[in-house]
Formats: sequence, C-alpha cells, structure tokens
Amino acid sequence: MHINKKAAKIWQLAFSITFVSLLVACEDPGSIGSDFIEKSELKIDTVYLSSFAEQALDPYLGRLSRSSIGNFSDPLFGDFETISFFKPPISRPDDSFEVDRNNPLLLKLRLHDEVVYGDTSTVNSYSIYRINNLWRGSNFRKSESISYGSELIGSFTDNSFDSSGFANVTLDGSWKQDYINYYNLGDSVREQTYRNNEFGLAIVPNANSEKIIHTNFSLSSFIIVDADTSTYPILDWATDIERTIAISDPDRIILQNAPDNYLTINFSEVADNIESKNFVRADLVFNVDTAAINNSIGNSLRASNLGLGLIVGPSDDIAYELGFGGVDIASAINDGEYRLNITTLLNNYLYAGASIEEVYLYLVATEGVLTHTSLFSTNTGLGNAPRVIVYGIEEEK
Amino acid sequence: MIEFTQRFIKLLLIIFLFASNLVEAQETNKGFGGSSYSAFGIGMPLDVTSDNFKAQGLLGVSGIIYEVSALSNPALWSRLYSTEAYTGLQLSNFILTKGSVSETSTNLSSGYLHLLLPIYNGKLGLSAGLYPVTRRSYKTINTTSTTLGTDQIDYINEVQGSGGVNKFEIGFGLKLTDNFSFGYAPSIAFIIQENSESFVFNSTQFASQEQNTKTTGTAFSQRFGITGTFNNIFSSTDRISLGATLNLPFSIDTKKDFTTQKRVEGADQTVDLSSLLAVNSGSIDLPLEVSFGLGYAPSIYVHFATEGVFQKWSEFSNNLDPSDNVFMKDRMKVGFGGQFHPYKRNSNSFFSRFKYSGGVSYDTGHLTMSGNDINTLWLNTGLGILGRNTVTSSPSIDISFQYGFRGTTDNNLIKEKIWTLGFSLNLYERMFVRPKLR
Repeated sequence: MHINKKAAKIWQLAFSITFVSLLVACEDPGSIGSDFIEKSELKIDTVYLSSFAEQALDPYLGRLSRSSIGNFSDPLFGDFETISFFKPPISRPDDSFEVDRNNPLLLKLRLHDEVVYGDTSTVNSYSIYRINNLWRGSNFRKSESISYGSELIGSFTDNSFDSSGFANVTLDGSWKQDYINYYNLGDSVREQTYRNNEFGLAIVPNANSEKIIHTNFSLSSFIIVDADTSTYPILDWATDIERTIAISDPDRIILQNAPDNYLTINFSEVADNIESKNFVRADLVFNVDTAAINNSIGNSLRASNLGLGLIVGPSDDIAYELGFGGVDIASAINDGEYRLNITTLLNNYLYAGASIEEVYLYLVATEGVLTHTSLFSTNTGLGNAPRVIVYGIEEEK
Repeated sequence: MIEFTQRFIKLLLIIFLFASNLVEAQETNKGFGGSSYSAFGIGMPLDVTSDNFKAQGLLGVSGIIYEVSALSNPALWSRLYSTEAYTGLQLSNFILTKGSVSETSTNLSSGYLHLLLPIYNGKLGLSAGLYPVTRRSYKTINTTSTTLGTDQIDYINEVQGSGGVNKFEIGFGLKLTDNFSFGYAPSIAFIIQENSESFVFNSTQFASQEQNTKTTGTAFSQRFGITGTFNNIFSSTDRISLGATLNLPFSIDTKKDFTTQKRVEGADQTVDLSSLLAVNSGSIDLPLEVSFGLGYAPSIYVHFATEGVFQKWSEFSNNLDPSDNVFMKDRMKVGFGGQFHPYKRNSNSFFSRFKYSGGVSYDTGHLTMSGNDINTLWLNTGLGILGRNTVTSSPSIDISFQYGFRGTTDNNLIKEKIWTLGFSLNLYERMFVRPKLR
C-alpha cells in the first residue's frame, strides 16, 4: 500500500495535537460563579481548657547562665531572698608554680545590669563569706540550702562595677590563706584536696537590699595578681532562692521562673472536641492579668520573661526538661495574651497517635533570671479563661 | 504484511497516546475554567459526537452521513468496511458576565475515543468507546479574611471542580434489512468527580491548606439505536435517513472521600477525613435519554439534517448532595445543519478539497434557576480536511467552531458567551482486508 504525503501529515498533526493537549492549559478565573459553588470558609471556635493542673517544681539552680543576688518584696509575687555562691578555680600554669601570700586574689565578677528585679534607685552592698557545707552546682536544687560563716572574705557594692559590667573584688581573710595552701600543693593532690575540703564562697546581699541583681559566673574569672597572668574561669557556682508567696488567688495562675512551678495539660479532651473539624490552626491562649502586674510594683522593675513554653511529656526529670531542655512550642506575650500554636501537637495526636495527655506549660526565661507572670484562670469569665481557639474549614452556609 | 504491521502499530500507538490523555482527562480535566453552571449536579450534560457533526449542530443520529461513523447511534456501526478510530479535543473560551462584571476562562479538554471494527463488511460492526457523559469544569478564586489575635489575616480560597460521568462502552451494529439497522451498546458508566479547595494565607502563621472531595462509583448502563435509510425518494440521487436512540436510565452507587493535607510528625501527609462528611455514600440516578434525527441528501455532494435529544433530568437525583436536585429540569436540544462535499467532484481546485459545514442548535438546558431556564443557542460551522481524495473512508481531520450564548444576567445569574474550537481525528485502515493478487 502507498502512504501519500497527506496521510503522513495527518499522522504528524495527530501527534502534535496529542502533545499540545498534554501540555497546554490556559486559565484566568475569578470570583464569578462562586455563588453557585459549594465552598468552604474559615470559622473560629473556642474550646475552654479544663484538664490542667498546677504543679510545684524543685528546679536546678546550679551553673545557670545568670545567678541572682539580692532581696526584694514583690507585692504581687512574694518576697525573695537570693544568694549566689561559687568556688574559685585552683588551676596553675605548672607544678613548680607557687604563689606568695602577699599576692592579692581577685574575683572579677560580671554583672548583667540590664536585668534587675526591684528598686533600681537603691545601691546595694554585698558581702562574701566562706561556705560551711559541701555542694555541687550541677545538681544543686532549690530545696537544698547552704550555710556560710560570719568572717568577711570580701565585699562590693553596685557601684563597684565598671562600665563593662565587671567588679574586681578582693578575696582575703582565712579563706585566702587556706586557698594558697591548696594552691601550692603538688599537682597529684592539689585539686582533689581543694575540692574535698574547700566549699567555696557565698555572695550575700545586705539585709536592707531592695533589689535583685543578676551576675554571670561563666563570664567571671579569678585572678592571682602579680603572680599568674592567666585568668581562670570559675570552677562551680549556684544560687539559693528563698521565696514567700504573697497572695494565693484561685482566679490567677502564677508561673515563675526558676521555674518553680508549671502546669500539666491534658490536651486529649480538646483534641476529641475538635476531631470533627478540619482545622488549619489551633492556638492555646492564656490571658495575662496585665493590670495587676503593672499596678502592683510602683517604680520598681521586674525582669522580663521570654514567654510561655510547652514541652510534650511525659518526662522522667521534668525539672531538667523545663530548665535545660528545648521548648517544643513557645509564645511571647502579645497584647496581653500568650498564644501558643498547638496545631501540630493536635495533628500528631489525631493522625499519628502521639501522646498529648501530659504536656508541660511553663514560664520561659533566661536561665537564672527571676521572673513571673500572672495568668487568668478558669474562674475569671469566658473572655479571659484559658482556651483553645480553633480555625476550622467548614462548608459555607 | 510488513506494511500492514507498520500501519497497525501506528494505529495502536496513536490510539494509546490519545487514550492515555483521554483517561487522564476523564479524571481531572487539567484545563480548568469553564461553565459555572457545571457546578450543579454531576456537571453539564455532553453530546458525544465528533467535530464533523458539531460543525453542523447535529449529533449524528440520523445516519445521513456515510463518510464518518458516529458514536451517537449504535445502529450506524453496521455500515463498516474498514477499521476506524476517532478521537478529538476541544479548546473553549468562556466569557462570564454577572451584573456589570465580566471574566474570561479557558478550557482545553479531550473528548472521546472511539474504535470501530467491521466483522462482516457492511452488515455487522463492533465498537469500543470511552467518552464523557457529563463534565464539571469550574474554578473560582475568592479572597476573604480572618483574625489572629489582633492581626487581620487575608486568605485566598481557590475552588476547582472537575470530572463527571464517563462511559466505557462496547457495542455492535447489525444490518437487519437493506434499509434498517439496529445497534446495542452496553457500557460501564463510572463517575470520577473531584472538588478541590486550597487556602493560601498572607501570613506565615497559617500553613496553606488543600482539601479534596472525590466521588467515585460505577454502574451498568445500556443504549439502543435504530436507523433506516431510503434511496431515490424524490430523485435518482437523493437519500433519506432516519435514526433514533434510547439510553435507559441507570443508577450509580457512589462513595465520597474527603482528604486533606496535614503536617503530622514533621512531614506533610494526606489525611482521610471522610468521617466528617454528613453523607459519604449514596446513589446517583441518571435520566432516560432519547435522541432522534432525520436527514436528507439530495445528492452525494450535500446533505441536511435535523436532530435532537431529550433527557429527562427532572428525574435526576443525587443522594450524596440532594440540594441540587431542585434545579434540574428536562432538557431538549434541537439542531439543524448541513454539509457540502465538493471534494467528491474530484476537482483540482484548492477549495474543492474540503468539507464545509454549518448549522444552528438550541439547547433548553437541564437547569432552572430563579425561574430562568439556563438555555444555550449555538451557531456552528466547520471544515473537514481529507487525507485522501476518495469518496468514502478517507482519513480526515474535522475542525469545528461553535459560538454559543448561555444563561442570563437576570436574577443575579450568569450569562456565558462561549466559543469552542474542536478538532477530531478520523482514521481508517483496511487492515483486515487482504489485498487481491494481481
């Protein structure tokens, strides 16, 4: 059979049309016709939170990036007395190196003056005493305490800090003599003997203190003047905090960082409530009692926090998780409310069977900074009660 | 034998290409835009016919045309002398007007696939076809807003509808007498209908969202056709042809799935939310359809026909979404047209190498909204390009152009001006006829 040119062109055209149909699609639609079409819209629903409980916590207070020192009576959040304590290093350049008893020993203490809790107009003074008992910064907790002697080893005031935030504090007295004895021991026994027998120094605010400052021992150092030109980091440190609750208000949830407390929330009830919705976002919302916070402190200042955080439990060591673990969901305050996006949390529960029966809510702050917030609880009316706001896609009516 | 094999492979290849494109089109109809009225029920009813007939405003039921076999009447399949394959696609442009606002949308879609095989030349032929019965094709974009705390969040809601009812059909046409033929075509009717919505926000506080509703189901359906042809009625060269088909009503058991995309365990996952649907299974009842046609050809060079279809959409019901049932009404479409075949004169003139078509049709529509019938007036014309200059069984490409006016702007409804450019490819091969030895 003969295939003429026309037939060949038809075949070519057929293939061309096929490929064009595969590749081409033009469109520029708009909203005309949307009245005819079943479409959805975003609707907002509120589910009030009921399954939560406040829990006390015994936080870790050692080796934090900030160490508080001072006293302050907060009308809303209670009375605070804090001391910080540290152990100077015992390192030296080499085994033959010894110091003279006349060489001054200096603590170069770093202050974060931008973080102050209390009356900033006052000038505090601070005394340094020897500690009488053994402690270890890595596992020192709020429930523990230290005792210190009465011999003054050193002192400084708020005015001792230079413009860079450092104060050079001379350490003297019996502690200096004992320290030099340890220092000049042979390398084989020096450090172990020092660790076992020397308990460090406590920085104690004077009794009339009206503010709490925050120091940084990881940026502080120890210097033996005119002997070793090296500066050595502080060996260990911790903070002892005593707090007396001012008011117990059932309509408020007081969250405080060390953290001293937290909320456990069971989200399964909320999830079951919204399981019948195709939600695109769900926010856990807590309103802050900003009026009480703003009107209760006069001219004094409170240290700011970083917001609220959620960590999905369960956890074997909640104090460690809340103190040093990574936050799963966080929210800074915005217009008097914290709004935590828990969409993924609920999705994981509803569509992957993840556990959300034990989720921890806590106040997030820079390590060691004393800060608080007052949240409205369930008894404060629907407008302010803790709630989950759900953005669901529903068919337009 | 080698030539036969090559031709057969070519035919299979081109059918495969069209078929793959067509099957995809049955599911998703990639070229979006289209009639807003297709959002109702199971979409706009389609007249399944090639562009040879569309260009005349006809369905191809009467059988007045011998050169091109029609999918619309099974009885006509008895006339086969060669293996034939038909397919096509169309490009449509919609100018939608509501009140004083106008928008334009464009749609490119595949039409159908039809294969014909002669079993006994001129007496018994088999047919296999894949074609759409109804089609949804719309897309709208709306901008809305919500609040997140004190922030206003704007979002775009894009809604797309696609798919419809399709049929995969195998049938036969049988010549009963010199004048009359009968055809029967059972088929599997299947519905694949999708409605997808996407939400895109102008804030990173919200993740974009996509959700998709898919309705699927299958059913058995069947249709019958009859045709009669009479020569030399008023002259020694004329011919009259009559045809009719009956498409029995059928019911499709359907189920509806609802899925969406969610961020779960750090990854995007498709989540089945079908349990949220108020109704996720039910039957869809498709109506009875009757078509008819009468054609007259004074000579082999020209013919005229009038044809129509009646569909009893008032008996349509959709248990999955009964709210649209109230808009349905019986549909009648009537067309009149003709075709001129100068190529049969074997002239060397350029303009004698084509088929010329023209016609007009009126469709009452299957919807009544706010007291208004959504009717359509179509003006049709077209051109046929012959592959071989023979009188019968010539491969060809038919091009149709339709211009239509649908609906009204009364009562806040939509008026549509539609132009459609269609291409049909008609292939013939006498591959099962052994050449005589010379």
